[in-house]
Amino acid sequence: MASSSDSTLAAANIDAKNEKNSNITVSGKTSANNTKMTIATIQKAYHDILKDPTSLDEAAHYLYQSLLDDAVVGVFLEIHHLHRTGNLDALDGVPEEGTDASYRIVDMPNYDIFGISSVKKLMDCTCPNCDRPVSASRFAPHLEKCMGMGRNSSRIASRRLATKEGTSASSSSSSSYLQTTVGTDDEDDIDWSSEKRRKKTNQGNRNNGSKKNNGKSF
Amino acid sequence: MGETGCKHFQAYVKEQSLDTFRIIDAYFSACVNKDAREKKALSCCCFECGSYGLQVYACLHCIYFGCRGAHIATHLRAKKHSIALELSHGTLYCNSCRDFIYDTRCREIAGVNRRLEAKDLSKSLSWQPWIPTPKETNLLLANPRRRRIRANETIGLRGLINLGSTCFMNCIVQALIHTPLLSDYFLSERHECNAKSSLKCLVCEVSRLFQEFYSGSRSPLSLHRLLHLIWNHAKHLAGYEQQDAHEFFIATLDVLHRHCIKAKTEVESANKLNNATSSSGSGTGGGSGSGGHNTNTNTNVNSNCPTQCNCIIDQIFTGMLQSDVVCQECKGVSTTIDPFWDISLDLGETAHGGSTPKTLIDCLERYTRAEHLGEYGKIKCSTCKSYQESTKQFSLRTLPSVASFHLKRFEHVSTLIGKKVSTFISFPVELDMTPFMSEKNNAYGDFRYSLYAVVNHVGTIDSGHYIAYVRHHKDTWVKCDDHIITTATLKQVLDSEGYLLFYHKNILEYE
Repeated sequence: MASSSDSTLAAANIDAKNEKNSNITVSGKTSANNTKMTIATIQKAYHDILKDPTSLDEAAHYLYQSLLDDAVVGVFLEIHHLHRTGNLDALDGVPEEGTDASYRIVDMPNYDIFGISSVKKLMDCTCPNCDRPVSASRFAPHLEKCMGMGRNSSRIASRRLATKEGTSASSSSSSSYLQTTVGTDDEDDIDWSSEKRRKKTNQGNRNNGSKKNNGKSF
Repeated sequence: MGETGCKHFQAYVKEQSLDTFRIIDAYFSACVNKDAREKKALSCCCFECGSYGLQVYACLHCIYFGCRGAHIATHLRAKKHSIALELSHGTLYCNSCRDFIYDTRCREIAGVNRRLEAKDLSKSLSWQPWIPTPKETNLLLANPRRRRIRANETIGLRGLINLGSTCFMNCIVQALIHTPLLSDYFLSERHECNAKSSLKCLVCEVSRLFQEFYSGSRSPLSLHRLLHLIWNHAKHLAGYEQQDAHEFFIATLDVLHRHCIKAKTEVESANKLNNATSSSGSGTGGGSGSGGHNTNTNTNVNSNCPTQCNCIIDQIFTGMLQSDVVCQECKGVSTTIDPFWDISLDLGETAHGGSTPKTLIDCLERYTRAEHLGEYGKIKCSTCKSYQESTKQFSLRTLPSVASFHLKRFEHVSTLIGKKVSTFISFPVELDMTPFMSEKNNAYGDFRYSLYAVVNHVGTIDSGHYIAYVRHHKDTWVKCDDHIITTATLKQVLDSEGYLLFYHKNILEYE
């Protein structure tokens, strides 16, 4: 890199300063000269540069060049280090294959951004509270009751808790309990599959109603 | 095992230890204090040509400074010295290898010095490139496939299923997922979980959500686990009835923040021993005994604002609101500073009449205007020792990286009766917050923000629906209506009513 021209420029700048102000004796060469430099002389030199438009222009140019040069060195050092540690190849990697077209944004009426027709799909999810499959679109009302909130729910929840404790929380026994006793007074009951219904779910044709289910639950 | 430079450097360290490096770096590369800056200004120039250029090297064997290139190289060759320090970036150079060398211990010392420098100048830490650990390097090499995120692709977008009136949650999640700083944090897996089961950790769940959004899957996602976790951790939100997006947003931040505090105290108690040894090392870093002093100020700051735990939520969302109460009798000012996560803005008529706000700027001007507390709102003045009429004025002391505004569209006349204010409030894409800062003229930094998410309420106060507009890429906006994601134009976004507005800071300071 242009190191020699850079230092010449710096030296030229200092020489230029010296011509204008004899108080500053920065000729370099020997370090003894530096002892004459004080913060006050630096500040004076700085104000002198600011006063004169020509020297200000020159100083700004010099500063810009130095900063640019320094930034380039920074990038060089970063890459050099990555190269030395072998991380340059590690970071690069290879692009994923065959994704060029499939993720392209779609902007068409009646289709969403993924190019799928925007008809609501039915999904199931497993309730984290009771581990039963629940229709996703009815999950919030289910959870409210399941966690023991809202009307009737505290009664149902505490009853279920009692059952769980009593039968060491085995899912088959608690579901049969619910089917027989709680079932009638809980409007959300249809979302809780019984053992029979759950088997069907796995085959992908269960649901609370007639609509087809994609059988996905996570 | 980290990097150890080269064999010449190892021989040098054996003979001379790292003390010379530590002092040279602290004084002439990092400049940890005023004394160091003066010493550098006065004596750090090339001994050959007198140049003060940025690219000066220091010999680590003797007292010698020289310009990059011939001047330092001649010295090193003539004196048979091999190790020099490049002062602008603090990089080691070995003249025997004729190459730059890297040493982990030196990097740690340099890191301490850079932090001292930043603290002394009260400026942000300068940028440092990511240096993968050997473990990370191996992982990167073992998994070379990279998913590129391009502007015209859907990676990063997912529809969210309505779980039964949960559109308020879907909108907030869309806004959070599209918060650049938050996605940087979670996609770089910075959350280290201490919970016994990650299934019970809300932060882990958010981390999983980010993975789902960027998985490339196009089917809508169900947030049932998130809803369950939030209801478990914020009992006041629990229940099917709860439907305000703003309340949910604040509660979510609160729950995430509390999770982080908990995780942090656990990590701290585990690392206490490690910290004790490393901080004693930093004391010698500056070579001026300032290390101990700095640790003291640090704890003071922490005890002053107990709400700031410096977790990712605080780093992104917490700002400081200044409230100045001026006694009209003695003109004495009493200032209090409180943390905030968002700013709620009134839209209706002011108590003293005046025009209703039409733009976000109007709302902010009104928010930060001095308000006369009146005859019945007298406040005890500490100088006058009596109750006096006063004025109160809000201003922003510090701003968070994400500035979120809540337009108060729901007015509650009584607990039962409420009405929705549907006045159109225009909001800009680019927002400069400088006029609303406490110290407008000498505040350090840049306060320009860009809009990246808008949550809208459609309908009446009794029955309505929430949808969100989010910025997917710089000029690509999408509309998120539960499971349906469609493209949107900027005009659509700006013409929308606006309930919650999310702005992201354009220029970020490091640390």
